[in-house]
Amino acid sequence: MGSLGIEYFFDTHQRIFWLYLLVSSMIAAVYILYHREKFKTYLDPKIWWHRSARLDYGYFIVVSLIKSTFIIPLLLSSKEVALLTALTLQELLGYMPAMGWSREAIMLLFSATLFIVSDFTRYWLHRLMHALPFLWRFHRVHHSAEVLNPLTFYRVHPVENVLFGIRYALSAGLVTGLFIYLFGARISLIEVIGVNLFVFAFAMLGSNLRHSHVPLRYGNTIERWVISPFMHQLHHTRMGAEHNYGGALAVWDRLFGTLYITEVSVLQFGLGKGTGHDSILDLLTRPLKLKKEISYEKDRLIT
Amino acid sequence: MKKTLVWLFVAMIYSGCGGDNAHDGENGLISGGSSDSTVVLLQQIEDAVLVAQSSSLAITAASTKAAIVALQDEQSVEELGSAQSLATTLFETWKGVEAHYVAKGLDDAMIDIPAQIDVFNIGNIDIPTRLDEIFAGSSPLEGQLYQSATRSMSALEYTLFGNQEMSDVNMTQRRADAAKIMIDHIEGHVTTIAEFYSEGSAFVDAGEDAVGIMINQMIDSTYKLKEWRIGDPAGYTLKYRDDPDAEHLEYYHSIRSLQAMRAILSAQESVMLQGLQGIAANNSASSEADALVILIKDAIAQIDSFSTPIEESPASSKTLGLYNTIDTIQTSYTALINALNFTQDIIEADGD
Repeated sequence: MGSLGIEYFFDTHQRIFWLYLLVSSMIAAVYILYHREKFKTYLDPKIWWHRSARLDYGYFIVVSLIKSTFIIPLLLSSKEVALLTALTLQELLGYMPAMGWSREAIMLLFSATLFIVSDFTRYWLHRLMHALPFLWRFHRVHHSAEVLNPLTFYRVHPVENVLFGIRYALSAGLVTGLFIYLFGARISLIEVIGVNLFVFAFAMLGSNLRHSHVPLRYGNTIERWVISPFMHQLHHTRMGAEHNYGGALAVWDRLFGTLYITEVSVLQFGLGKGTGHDSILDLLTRPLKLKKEISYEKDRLIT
Repeated sequence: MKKTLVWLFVAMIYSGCGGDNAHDGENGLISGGSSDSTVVLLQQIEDAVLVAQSSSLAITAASTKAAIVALQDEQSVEELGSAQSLATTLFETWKGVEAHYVAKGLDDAMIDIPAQIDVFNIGNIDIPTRLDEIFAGSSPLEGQLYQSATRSMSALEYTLFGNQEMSDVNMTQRRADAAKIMIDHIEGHVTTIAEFYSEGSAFVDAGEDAVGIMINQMIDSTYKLKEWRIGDPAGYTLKYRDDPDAEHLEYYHSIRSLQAMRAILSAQESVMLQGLQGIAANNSASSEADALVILIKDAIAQIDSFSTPIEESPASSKTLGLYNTIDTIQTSYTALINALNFTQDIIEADGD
């Protein structure tokens, strides 16, 4: 039997693990303390029970079932990629005795490399999802959300799930294979509650607020390095959707010229009138039904 | 709203209806083995393999030393035969201890010890030539045998066995005295190893890292077995492509090279059977570990099937078969590393 996503709340690898939600809520509460005038806005049922939000909740359950039943069992595993990478390196470069670094140094380097490479590939796949019309038709499902909540993170078309799954398998597999070649069996991650330290730290910085209406900023200096919730919210607006593709690090946006930070008090999410979705079935099937490729630019023109 | 509540209710029932749902397919490789069982298995490897074999090595070194002392007193054929017999046991026992020598990964002070004992494929010194010069001279032996290479296992082998044929060994007093200096040197170092393993549980304390260190060491010993001990003499390696030469075998003079290879594989088999296979099984890697054990057993069987010493024909079809099997063992160790749960295998399929 498949999964309906409930266990995501108890899975430390998931964005909506209860602790991450709790921490994000606490950060939001502190933010609200300093912005009391917005208090009603954040708790407004117009946001949490908006048609788009309700669609997110239902879609989360359906797409969890689809993922666990049809996608994940068939997806390429990062371990398969890792083994192939390690053996290929041995074949091409010859045997190399495992480097005698301290375990702590290996763990730190492996954890950081895995996090950075994964974030880098996430940036580029995300950017391609916007740039290529064939991919945009699937990614627009995510951008069609008119209000944001933590479950909007999972408002992703199954085709996009497959692409991101392959991306992760390749990036984590290549890094792991390289580290097996260099350090043999001594590779290990620095983990907090079973999660890569860096992934955990990102989650504890309020990652769930990225898909929320709380415009939390980290300050200009930090935002040159890390994507704040506000920066991702800007990405969900029509004026900022070609910017801030980064997952956790802002470095990629800065390096490749897509960083965008502006002072805006009201953010309008979604793709505009007439571009939303009416039902879960519509979210799943419309990208497949489109007869013509729909580019991001065309979506922008719709008002 | 009612619809959504119904959805949520159905979802909760669905999620709670069976063990299958506890596994969502995304985090299926998280370690299932308890750390307690890993500690028990590591302890078993330490006791049954590391301590037992290093103690045996130290005892064999002491026995060999006693035989060499007797040889110093009387350079008879009987005394020489006794010393040679014990020395071959010493060589083979050492190969076993060397194959799983994890001490260098646990304590920096233990790193250089193997190179003090064994210089096979290390350095450029031509040990037989150098020793022949020393035996022909009259300078004090202690000064002449100052290099580790001239006190190593290879040096002792040449001193006791000469150039393959016993009749070639002109066992003089000076040669017997040199053998005593060599065995003193070797005994000191193997005793240090035995004491290291028997004195503490650095291996067990290292936990997960101990498994990593052990597997790395066994991969290294597998590679050296394949390339140095089989490939080079048989002419399969780039270094000696199509140029087989029995003199490149590790124990060419004593005609014990196959036995040394067998000792290396037997040591690896012991580590697997005494604990590593169990640790792998506890961490979702039993098929890889089982395959490895089968391959090691197969390689040992291949060695046992040699009807003549490999020194007589270093590049036979049997040698090639053995070489290929060891190559597969090396690959299988990499597969074992990959399969073990020390790295995450989450599947991250969501966008942003």
